[in-house]
Amino acid sequence: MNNGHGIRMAASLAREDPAWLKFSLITMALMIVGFLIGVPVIHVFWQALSGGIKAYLSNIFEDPANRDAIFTTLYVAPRAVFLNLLFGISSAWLVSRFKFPGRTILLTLIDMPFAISPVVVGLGLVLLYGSSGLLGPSLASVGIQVLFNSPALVLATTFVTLPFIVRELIPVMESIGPDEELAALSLGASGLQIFFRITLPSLTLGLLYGTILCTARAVGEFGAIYVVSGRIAGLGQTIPLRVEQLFQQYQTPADFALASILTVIALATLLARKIMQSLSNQRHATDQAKRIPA
Amino acid sequence: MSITVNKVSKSFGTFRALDNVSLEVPSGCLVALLGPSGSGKTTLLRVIAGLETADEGAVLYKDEEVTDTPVQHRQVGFVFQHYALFRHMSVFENIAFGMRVRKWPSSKIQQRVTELIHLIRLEGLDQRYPSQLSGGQRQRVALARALASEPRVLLLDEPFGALDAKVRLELRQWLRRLHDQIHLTSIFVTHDQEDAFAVSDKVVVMRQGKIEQIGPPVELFENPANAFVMDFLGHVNAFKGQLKDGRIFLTDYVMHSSQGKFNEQGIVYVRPHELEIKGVNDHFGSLPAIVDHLHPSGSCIRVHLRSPCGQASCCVEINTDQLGVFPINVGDKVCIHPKRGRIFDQDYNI
Repeated sequence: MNNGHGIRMAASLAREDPAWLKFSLITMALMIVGFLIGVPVIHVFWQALSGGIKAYLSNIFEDPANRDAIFTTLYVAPRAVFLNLLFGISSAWLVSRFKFPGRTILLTLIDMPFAISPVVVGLGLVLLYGSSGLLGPSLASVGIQVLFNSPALVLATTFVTLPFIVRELIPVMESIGPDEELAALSLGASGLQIFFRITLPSLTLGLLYGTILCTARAVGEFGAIYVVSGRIAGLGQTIPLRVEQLFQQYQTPADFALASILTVIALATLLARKIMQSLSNQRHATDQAKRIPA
Repeated sequence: MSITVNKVSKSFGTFRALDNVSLEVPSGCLVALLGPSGSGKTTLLRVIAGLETADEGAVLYKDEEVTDTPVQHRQVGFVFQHYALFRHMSVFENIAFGMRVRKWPSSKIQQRVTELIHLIRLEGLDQRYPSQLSGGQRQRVALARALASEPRVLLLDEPFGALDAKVRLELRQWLRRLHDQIHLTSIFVTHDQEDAFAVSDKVVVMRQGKIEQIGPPVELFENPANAFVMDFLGHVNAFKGQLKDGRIFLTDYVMHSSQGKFNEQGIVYVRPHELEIKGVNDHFGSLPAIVDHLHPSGSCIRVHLRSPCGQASCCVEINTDQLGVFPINVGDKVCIHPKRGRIFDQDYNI
């Protein structure tokens, strides 16, 4: 171990760059990050809190449209995440445990939401569920209104956030391999017992990780929802949509106050991610330390 | 519980992993399936366990046909090559798993796990997780887990494959003693002939999906059925030669014996300890050789020699004290003479 460290240090000395180059590269990186990310984020909070905490809170909660937007987001995002969990676990299991025709196509399709513009997703839903769409009229005849209603919001959000959980789970499941499941099978476990006692527990970290990313993306989704919501205040409007509306109406303090909620969620996501990373690293490190020779 | 494999065949695509294999394992016997990689030994084990289904043929436990019984109802203990311990469960929970899914009462589970932890000598480590154990300890936990719900047979896939030499040796002896205690019909797969010889009652040598020979270790070593078995079970030298008046005459060296050379006409197979080194060519049928190098190997010394033209080589094992009587140095011109040898293509041994 010591030896390895020594070699690594010698290597890093050998490829030491001149000081001016290092300095200018670091300054450039800091400036880009600062102006692109740091300043706008700080500015959001600055503007939101400029009237003091009391004004900040009343800006958010006094307007019923703002409250509705928060409730709609709390309604839509968990449902989208739940659907993604179902889809994520089942398709990760399918892709990592079975070889079947169309496997590569499925893998490519899962990545589609990363590549496609959310507006196109929204338009697709309008074409499908609209009054002259493929499914719209027949659903309307049984009294189900999808478009301009919460189902459309959930569908759009689910579509856009589809890859997050699957993409976290597939590498984890592939690295674990089927041996533990086979071992459980040989010990007499049924399919359900194997899933709940072996497969699911070994995915905990990946699942948490995927869920956090998925939640953050679901809360912040704008493009697809913008198309399918009908943009009616108090009806099917999520936080990002309300933020945009307030911006259009020049209600700057309220706008920034609501935007700060989204920013806090984003920062919390990053923090949770960081904590989980260090947790899993720590667990690994203690495992190594506790291991004793046979 | 005895195991019978009756004319089992299994193919993966165009690859024939098992070709009409029949095997009889008596109750309480510890059998090793030995062969090079790709010989079908692991496939045979998995077919017996029910982790693979045979294309043709039948598998019987005692008199009960289990060919179509799924693995979870066969009551087998299976130890996987890389142990496949449940990484999110403690040692205790790993061992208890089979009993929990079979709904044993918890007091009985507690008692059985404690008993098994004592058996595998891991007292005090029952709350550890698999990642906190060494290779040998994991192996023993995997074995305890397989034994926990009292299986009818125990099947082990390369049980010593991932262990370093010293742990391997210990575990080998431990497994043998364990088997003598519990007398469970057991089959294990290995590619290492030392593993097979040290542990098993009977060895099954496999090649290309077929069984080449079945027998107790000593018999296999002394009376190999063919050149493949002879070559696979320890070092062997190959020479051109013939049999005259009950004696072996070596006529020439054979270049590096490869698999394709088996059963070629007029090949004599001689184990390193069955060759003698002489100073002069006093025996008719001896071959001249030049000493290449000597290296000590436990109680004996291995002498590597090459033919005078320097192309082919052979290996002789001599006792250390023999070296005092007849000193050998690198570069010496000597003669090698076979005390014993085997010619397989003529259908008899000497």
